[in-house]
Amino acid sequence: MKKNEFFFAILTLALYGCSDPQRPARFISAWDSPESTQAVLERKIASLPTGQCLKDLYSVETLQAEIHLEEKKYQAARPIEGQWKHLDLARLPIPQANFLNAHGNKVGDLAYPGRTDYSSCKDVPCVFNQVYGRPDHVAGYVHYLWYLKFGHLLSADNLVPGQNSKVPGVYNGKNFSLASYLYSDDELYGFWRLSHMLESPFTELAYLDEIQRLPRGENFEQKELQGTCGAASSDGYIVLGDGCLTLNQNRDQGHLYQGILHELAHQLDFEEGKGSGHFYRSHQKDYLEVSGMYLEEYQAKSLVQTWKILNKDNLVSEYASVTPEENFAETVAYLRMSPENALLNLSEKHFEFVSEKYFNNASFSYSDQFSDWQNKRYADLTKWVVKAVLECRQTSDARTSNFFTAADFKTSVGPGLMNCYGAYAEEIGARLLSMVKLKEPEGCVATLERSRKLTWNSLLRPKLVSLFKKNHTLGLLTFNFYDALVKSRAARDAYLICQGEIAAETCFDEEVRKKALEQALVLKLSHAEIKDLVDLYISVNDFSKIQSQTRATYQSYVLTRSEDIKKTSEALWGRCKGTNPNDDLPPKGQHFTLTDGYLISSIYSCLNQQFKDTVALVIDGFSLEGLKVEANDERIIFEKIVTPYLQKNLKEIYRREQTAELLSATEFMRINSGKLRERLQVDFGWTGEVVDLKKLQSDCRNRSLALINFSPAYHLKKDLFGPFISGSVCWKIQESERFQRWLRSSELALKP
Amino acid sequence: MPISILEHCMKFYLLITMVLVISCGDKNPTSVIGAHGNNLIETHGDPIRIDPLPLTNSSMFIYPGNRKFQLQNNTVTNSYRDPQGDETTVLFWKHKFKKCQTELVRVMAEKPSHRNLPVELRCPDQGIGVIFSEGSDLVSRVVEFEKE
Repeated sequence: MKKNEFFFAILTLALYGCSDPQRPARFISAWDSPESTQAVLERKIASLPTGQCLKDLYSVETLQAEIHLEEKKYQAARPIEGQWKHLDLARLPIPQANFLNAHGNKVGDLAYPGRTDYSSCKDVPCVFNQVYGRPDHVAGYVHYLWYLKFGHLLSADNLVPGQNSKVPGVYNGKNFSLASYLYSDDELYGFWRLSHMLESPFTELAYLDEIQRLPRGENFEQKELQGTCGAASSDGYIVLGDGCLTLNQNRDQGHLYQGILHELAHQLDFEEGKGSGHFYRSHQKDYLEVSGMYLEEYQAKSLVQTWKILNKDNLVSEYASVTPEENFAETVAYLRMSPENALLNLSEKHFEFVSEKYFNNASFSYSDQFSDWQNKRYADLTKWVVKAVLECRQTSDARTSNFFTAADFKTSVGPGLMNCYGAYAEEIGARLLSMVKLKEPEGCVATLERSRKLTWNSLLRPKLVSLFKKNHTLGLLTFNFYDALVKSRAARDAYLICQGEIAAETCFDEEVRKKALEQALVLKLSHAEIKDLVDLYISVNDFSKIQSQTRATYQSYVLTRSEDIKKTSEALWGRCKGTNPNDDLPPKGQHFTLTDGYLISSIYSCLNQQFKDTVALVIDGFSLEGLKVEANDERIIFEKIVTPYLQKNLKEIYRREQTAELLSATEFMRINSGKLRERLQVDFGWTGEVVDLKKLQSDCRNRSLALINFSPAYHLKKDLFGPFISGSVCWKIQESERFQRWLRSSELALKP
Repeated sequence: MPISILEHCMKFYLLITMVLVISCGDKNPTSVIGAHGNNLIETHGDPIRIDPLPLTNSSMFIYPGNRKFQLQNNTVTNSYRDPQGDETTVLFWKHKFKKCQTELVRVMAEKPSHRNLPVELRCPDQGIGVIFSEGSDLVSRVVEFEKE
């Protein structure tokens, strides 16, 4: 007996002996699962004349169909209460209501929000199209579809995050019309195409809020960003300039794809670093090892830190040598968009690391792309064949085909059935090809070349022969087996059970095998047949696919509860703010952290201490058709999704409070400027040094800080009042008449 | 087990725990800044390797755990280490340096990146600097130097 057969037999025995423990009802079972978005597009593409591609489908009608299917994910949620301008949110599809709640005030001319008339709008695409001034245009649908697929805003406003001017529409000291900030038709097409190219984890960036365009023709204001076409910030935004949005005459090519992916990779690098103690994922030991990067640091006149690379030939670009984070972003973007370059230059382990973790093991290379594309869609292929075999066996299909010959099957197959199988195989082949043309950026060009079309067919045929052969033997059983597993959501359950496991993927594989085996055993088949069925199921339910689908389902539910999470965040802040504010102990915890500014330790540590309990509280509040979250595995997934929401909300509250404190401090300074100087001059006993002006100013600053009866919670006192003290309270204090008089009297007193 | 023995054991464990807490608490290891190279080896053992530096009579002693000591003329001038626990957050150091006249200094690099440039927040009075990228909430390195 071969080793794997032995293992299989042992597993079978084990299954007979073990019964599944009782688990609480899954919360998510009440959440509707949508039909695949791809189905509509596949059918459309399949019906297009030969030679046409994805770009030929780019229309309002297609976008509407995609949006409709995406919105179906939210059908089970309760309506959102509230109002956005004239629109009653409860009457809108849930994600539209959510969008308007979260981003409704960030669209259009932010300097003159009343300038755009939205009164005729009944949905979100219309709101965007009003900004563009083009009713029923593709723009509105692309913007909204991007939000549905990626969860963040593709901006259509005139405020660049982090810009120098506080006034929207002013950049680099110049005024710009709103139109300068809006994406062109070609750029929007590029985004739409990207939305089909990118999958998890790029579609799950929880900390990214928006992708903003610079005004057309402008460079970044920041000196250090001169010459770059894009920037990603850990504050939750990506800004793109013209250079990152260029497309060739053939809109399927151009730097746009690589430029945007580079910036998204920065965001991914940042998000995957969270909780690891490193700001970026790429600074962790394993990435440094595969990329060959190491840090050289030493103190010269100032501190020097330079990243070095062991082998300069192992880079996709010169820029990839600058830092691990640039290396990561360049490598991810090149591997996807210029795979030949990546294959040629990266070390094998570096290529495999990125391909495995971020692209589902795909290589995208010219030589492997066909098998990659076919393998990636093996699940669909299998489903179609199972269905085809069933159809052929149940109906008398009169079509003819010479796709199969008798030699392809072990057992005898009648001519009618063989013709039917062949006709379906041809149809399935065409459908798969259309899927590839739809999803793969290089799909259309690659499959149109005659010589390559032959390669495509020669690779696909053995797969189809094997699948038809296997399913013909097993017949209806395959369908029942497969259908039962799909209905019981076996793969998703397996994924959930393995939540919290360190080797989640291995655990998943074992669980899926166990579940498939359980189902197969019911059918009372031979060992060989059972093994065939189980292998079939496992091959179409790989870990990353199920992970991505499952996360998206939970994510869509949490999105509908974002308002509740906001309220809980406010309550947490209120509790921590109200508890004996002080800054005595060192700040503790890392669930909620600050990128700039200050926060007194009592509030900071309280927020961190109560963070996990608050996440639990939020999850306890989730309910759907009478179900609560009871299963621990579901709780783990929800924790991962709710955490960024809470962090972002707390950050927003912090900024709000910080701004309010700054305003109060400004008012305090306005009122107290003269009084403070007056109090300083009552007694100059605070001066330790009168000759050294620097020391005198330092003493004055310390004394002033002590006199200021304002204890900030969101700023360091010295930062908040420092400029005010140097520029006003202590300004030339040594020249003041009272200081001079005090100095003279002191000198007299000192004289013997 | 009789209660008195249990109490005895409890007291013993409590004592041990307290000793451990006191000895492993948030305490800086003894500074070696200004120490001779030989003393460094006496206290820390032999380094994994010694790298030359592009400075006069300078070298870097490299120890496990990403810990490094910079020496000039065989005297330790700087030490570098990864932050531990709550030290990882920038806020921790802002709090620690609250009463210090801090300096924010740009960290130099041969090949500057376009983004999130590293800076050093220095407290000369305490002889400590921490490195983090602009816009980051996390400290990447803790640098020790001679107190001013």
